[in-house]
Amino acid sequence: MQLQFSRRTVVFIVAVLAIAILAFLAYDRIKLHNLSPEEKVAKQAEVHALIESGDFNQCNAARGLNIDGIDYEAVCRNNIAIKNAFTELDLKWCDELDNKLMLVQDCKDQILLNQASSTPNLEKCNQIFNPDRHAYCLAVYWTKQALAEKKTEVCTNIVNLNYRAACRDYVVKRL
Amino acid sequence: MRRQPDSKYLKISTGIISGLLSFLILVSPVWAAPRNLVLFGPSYGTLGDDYGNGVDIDTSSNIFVAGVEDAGPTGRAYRTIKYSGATGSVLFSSRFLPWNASFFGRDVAINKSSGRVYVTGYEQNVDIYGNIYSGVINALFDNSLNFISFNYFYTTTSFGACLNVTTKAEDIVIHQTSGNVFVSGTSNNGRDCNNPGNGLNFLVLKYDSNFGFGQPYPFTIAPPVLIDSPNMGSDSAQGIAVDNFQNIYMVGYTSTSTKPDKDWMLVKLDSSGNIVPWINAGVTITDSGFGDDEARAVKIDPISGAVYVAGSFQSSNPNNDADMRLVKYTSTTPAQIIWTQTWDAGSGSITNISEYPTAIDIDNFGSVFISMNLTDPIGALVGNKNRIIKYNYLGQLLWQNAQSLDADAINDMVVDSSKNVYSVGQFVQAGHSDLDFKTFKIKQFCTATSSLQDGKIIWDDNPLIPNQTKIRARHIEQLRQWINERRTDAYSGDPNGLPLIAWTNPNIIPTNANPVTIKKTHLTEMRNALDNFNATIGIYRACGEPTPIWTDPTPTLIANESKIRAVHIQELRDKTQNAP
Repeated sequence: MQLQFSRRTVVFIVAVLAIAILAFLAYDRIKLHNLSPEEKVAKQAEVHALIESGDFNQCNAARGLNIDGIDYEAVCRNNIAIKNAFTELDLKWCDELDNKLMLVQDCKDQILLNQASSTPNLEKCNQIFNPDRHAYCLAVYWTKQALAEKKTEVCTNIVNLNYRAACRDYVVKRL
Repeated sequence: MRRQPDSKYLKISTGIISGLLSFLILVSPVWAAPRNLVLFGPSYGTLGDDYGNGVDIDTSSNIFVAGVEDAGPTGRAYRTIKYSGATGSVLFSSRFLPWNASFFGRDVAINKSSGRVYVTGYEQNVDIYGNIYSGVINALFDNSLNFISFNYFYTTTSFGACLNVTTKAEDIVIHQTSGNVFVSGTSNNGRDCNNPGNGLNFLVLKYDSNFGFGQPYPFTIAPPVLIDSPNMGSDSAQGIAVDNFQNIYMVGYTSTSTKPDKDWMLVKLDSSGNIVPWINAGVTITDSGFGDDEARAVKIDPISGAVYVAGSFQSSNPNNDADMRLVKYTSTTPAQIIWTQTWDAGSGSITNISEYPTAIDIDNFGSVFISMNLTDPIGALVGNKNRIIKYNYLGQLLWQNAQSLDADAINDMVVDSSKNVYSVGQFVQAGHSDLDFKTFKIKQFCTATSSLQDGKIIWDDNPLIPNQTKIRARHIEQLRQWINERRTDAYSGDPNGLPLIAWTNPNIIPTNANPVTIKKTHLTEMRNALDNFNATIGIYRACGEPTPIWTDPTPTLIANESKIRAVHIQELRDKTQNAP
């Protein structure tokens, strides 16, 4: 036996299914928004365990979990990424941040500053967005350069006058 | 006929026995009941020195402590711990060390509605030239201590314009209605780069409940505010409080190169950060005239609006030590001093102990709690170098912690609505040489007098007029409720208090349809519940107070014969209201 549906019936069935799916999703979201304080803490504790695993894939289990306006999949991924970023001093982890709860550029600035402080690198300094950290990174670079060349004149490359003076003192004391 | 015993000898012998028993009961250490009891005191530590600096509780009475832990070669890290308020066990613990530097966690505050955890402190680092610089670092966690986000604030003088710069957070408070978060601290203003000490100012940072995320640098919802003292001195902010209107109260101290001794510095700001009149039109400086005076903590009574400020104040005694000073101000402008209390641990041969308050909190009865640390320049002080003391709203000292709080310092303290006190600090564990976090949950007992608004219970038919007011079941009912309430507050070895009394004729309903005759038993069992007669442990004895003396003592009352009089009920009311 072959069932035959009119076009109208098909449209009706599709519409009903769509409404049912939307209602289910809406209910799910409303349910998450209306969690009791105890349920919120329980959900947060579940995410805590996901973070402890250190495995990005585990964070998928927190997909769609929004508590007090905070996306917990992002919380999970951010926690793992920021820990790895500063443990490994690797910029790639910064790109995994959601850039809302945790800012990608802040993460990169700090890692670039850490990298350039241990091994002076002008290119890395110039990638730093934060003006204070950028200025300090350049000061470190030119100070180490001046010491290597044993020339206080190299310190004149530092724009900030306090750092320039500190650079001169630093080099003079070590020559 | 049954032979009666010789009543004369019986009287004497029972008198001697009861007298001896009374004496033994009075001198027995069992009855030397504490006014507070440590329920638990968990510690936490690394192999290095760790300092517990801030404590707060959520609505489920979970305890959150924050501080600084030794992080080995990378420096120091924030450590935040959530303890179960019921058992003291660790529920969650979080280390915050975003990059290689030293991070000093200073304080923690909980949003009572969302349960979010706000931690403030500062990063301290050394630049290539050997200059030490610091900046505020705030971290946001959820109630399970998942790390949500962080923000930072350095003054514009940081990282170069000025070397040796200081920007440090000290205290944090949440306006619970709006969820806004206020951080106080100390910061350079760049006025004197070569002498940064003179450029220090009070700093206030105001955030929304997201604590910075979603906002551009400096992540605040109002511009950061720096407050300089009128003498343009070195100003160090220590405590912050906000009232219902988000007015900000800050306390700390100030000094200058020409007047190097510290003076109290108090200032009030409106919700936008403008200085507004408080005690004076602007900043108030208070000087003992004898040496260093440091305001350390400020708290606002949410009911009365009264403002409490605590600090150390140099005394005029020959030892010139600093004493704890607590000042209660009116909520009016200009604020008037309601009372001032001074507390000095020094006594006997040890007189030069200084007391430095670390926190104030106020319970829902208006009683004021102060935590403080003690310093002793000659090393004569034996025992705990800290105290928690409690005043009622009138400024009368109710207790100081008699329990052994084996902490070298108590750096913060809060109270809850169930007569519990929570503190955090650090101590040296037995067999160790390093400092570790130490957290205490302390239950108060025998606090009934302080647990009444204006010290009174509202009784029906008050006062009772002899030969006029009819003694009603309602009078008995009220007394029973209050006596049992008071018993939960007294201590005889059980942290839940004295057992509740199962009253005779529990349903003593005051209706004409179901009349219950008020009997001698009803009267005597209430007396027993208070005074310890007849093997029922009473409140007065449990709290180490002399037992009440009654008109028509219980043994002289005769069932079906003695009349219950107004004075009997009145005495019970008075003793219940004034129960320790």
